[in-house]
Amino acid sequence: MAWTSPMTATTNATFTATEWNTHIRDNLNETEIAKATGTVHNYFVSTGANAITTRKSASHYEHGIQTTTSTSYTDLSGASVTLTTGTRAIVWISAGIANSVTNAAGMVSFRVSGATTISSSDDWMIAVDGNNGWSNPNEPYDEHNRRGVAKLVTTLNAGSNTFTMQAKVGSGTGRFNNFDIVVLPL
Amino acid sequence: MAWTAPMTAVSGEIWTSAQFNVHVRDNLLETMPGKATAAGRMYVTNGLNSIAERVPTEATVATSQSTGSTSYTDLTTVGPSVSVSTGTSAIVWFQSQMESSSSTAETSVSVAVSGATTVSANDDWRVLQSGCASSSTNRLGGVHRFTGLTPGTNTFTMKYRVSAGTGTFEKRSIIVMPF
Repeated sequence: MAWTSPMTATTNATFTATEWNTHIRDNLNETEIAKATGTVHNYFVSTGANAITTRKSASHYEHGIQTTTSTSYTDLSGASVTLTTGTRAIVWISAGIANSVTNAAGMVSFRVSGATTISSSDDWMIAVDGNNGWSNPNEPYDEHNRRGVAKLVTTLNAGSNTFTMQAKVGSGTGRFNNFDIVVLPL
Repeated sequence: MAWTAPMTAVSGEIWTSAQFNVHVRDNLLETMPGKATAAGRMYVTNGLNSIAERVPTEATVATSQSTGSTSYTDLTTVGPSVSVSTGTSAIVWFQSQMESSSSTAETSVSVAVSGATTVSANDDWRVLQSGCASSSTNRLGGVHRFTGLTPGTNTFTMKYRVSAGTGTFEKRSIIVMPF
């Protein structure tokens, strides 16, 4: 049952069973203690006026090197999380980035799928540019820079949403490793 | 109304309307659903038996703008900035695309606080780019947890500087999670 604004009692009025059930039983069942499930380390957020629910953050880390020559965003294999969100979520992405060509850019962003469709965008990308090109294929961190950015996504459809990291280059061959995505759903 | 420690009922006592209003109505209004005003909010303690609603907020400025200032300054479009109600702390994430006219110059982005609290932008929590080819474009971010804030409405504003030459900044964003 939903929350009902608690009634104001008046002197000498009879307190009915219906009033108990609506204003005490049902309202107590809307509080954070009643909503706390058996799952630990969740937290509470509002879903509207006088309504709350639990949420759980999620993350995924990939260590290995992936390469691309694509100049449009393409998925980084395995670098995604799927979780239940409301209409907002804070997303953090981090990645090590290098390019085979000196002064050529490598970029990482993320897209959303599932209940919501949002394409990767340069507006929330990580970009590495202006460095020497990597030359040693056996050295995974040759000319790498690792950095991160955050984005508050506010146009989600509530439900199960998947956040996937993607990469592209300005030219040359990009190498991407140690990528991390963390999502805090609101 | 504030929270009141729930009364202990005594056998044979009459339960009055005043007691209902204090111990049931007013206490329920101090719970999370009682405090919730809209979706996507979080709740923090702000004292003994007291919670407050907080709103994680982002602001962005996409426009490419430049400065040659060697001390932290605003760009033509100030910010971006976020004004939110905070307690004594807030976590701030800030990011920007940055380039420099010089391959040996630094470009820096930091955050200042105004409103209930005054904190100047500082290199201690800046995002710094240095040693990249001139006119190359990098986008990167940083995070800082501000403590010692004066509770109330605080405004967090991104600020910019260079060590030499001209720095150009675009796709700027700031996210504040108030506590």
